[in-house]
Amino acid sequence: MTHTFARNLNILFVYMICAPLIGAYAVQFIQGEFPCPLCLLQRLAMIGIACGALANVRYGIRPRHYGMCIISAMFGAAVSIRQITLHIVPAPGNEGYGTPVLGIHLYTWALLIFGATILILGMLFLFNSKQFYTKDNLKNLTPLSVSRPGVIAFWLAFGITAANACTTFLECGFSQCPCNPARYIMLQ
Amino acid sequence: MMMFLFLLFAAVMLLAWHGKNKTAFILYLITLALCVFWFKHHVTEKINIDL
Repeated sequence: MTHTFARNLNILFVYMICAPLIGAYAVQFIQGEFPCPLCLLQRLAMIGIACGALANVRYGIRPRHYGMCIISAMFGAAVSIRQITLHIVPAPGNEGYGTPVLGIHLYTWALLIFGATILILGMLFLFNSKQFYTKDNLKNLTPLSVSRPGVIAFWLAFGITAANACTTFLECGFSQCPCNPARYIMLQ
Repeated sequence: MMMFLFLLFAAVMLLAWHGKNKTAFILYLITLALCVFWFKHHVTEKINIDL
């Protein structure tokens, strides 16, 4: 795998990680559901994965950047597992948080995404022959020029992160987010 | 308060994109540590799997 191909794969990876974040927004605004604190932490973990991939796009492929992705995915998986186990025994009044999408709750989808992320990164490490810089280049932290799809991926990820900051502020304000949010506190 | 975690990640992206890779990496680690702290803060109730 060449260095350029690996960078292009990382651009694709940013788009793929932005898709569930946009989907979560669709559920939030079209179906009128409110993200719980654990849901927000899962979104943060996905954004952390995007940060690592974007660093690969901007500075070239480095193990540290892949490490950022893997650690974020592990954190997100831990949060997802916590939320799945909270609703592991369905009961009247506890059929899970939110409406299922394609029969699966969003936090279960999130766990699948985090698992797939770790799997994909493991597969990328299998083909590491030419994607990493040489030892001399690893010390060089000069930003590289980025293609137009890469720039769009950056602004998409940044826009989603900024939008999440705004909507979380509307939902929670400066206080701790409620466990079962039912309204935008700042819009009351 | 969770809004600040999103803002911190937005700052990480901006710093990394504009050539401050080392600063962005340190801020990323701080933000992730805050996320883990926040997660632990929320994991207080025991999971009920009473069958």
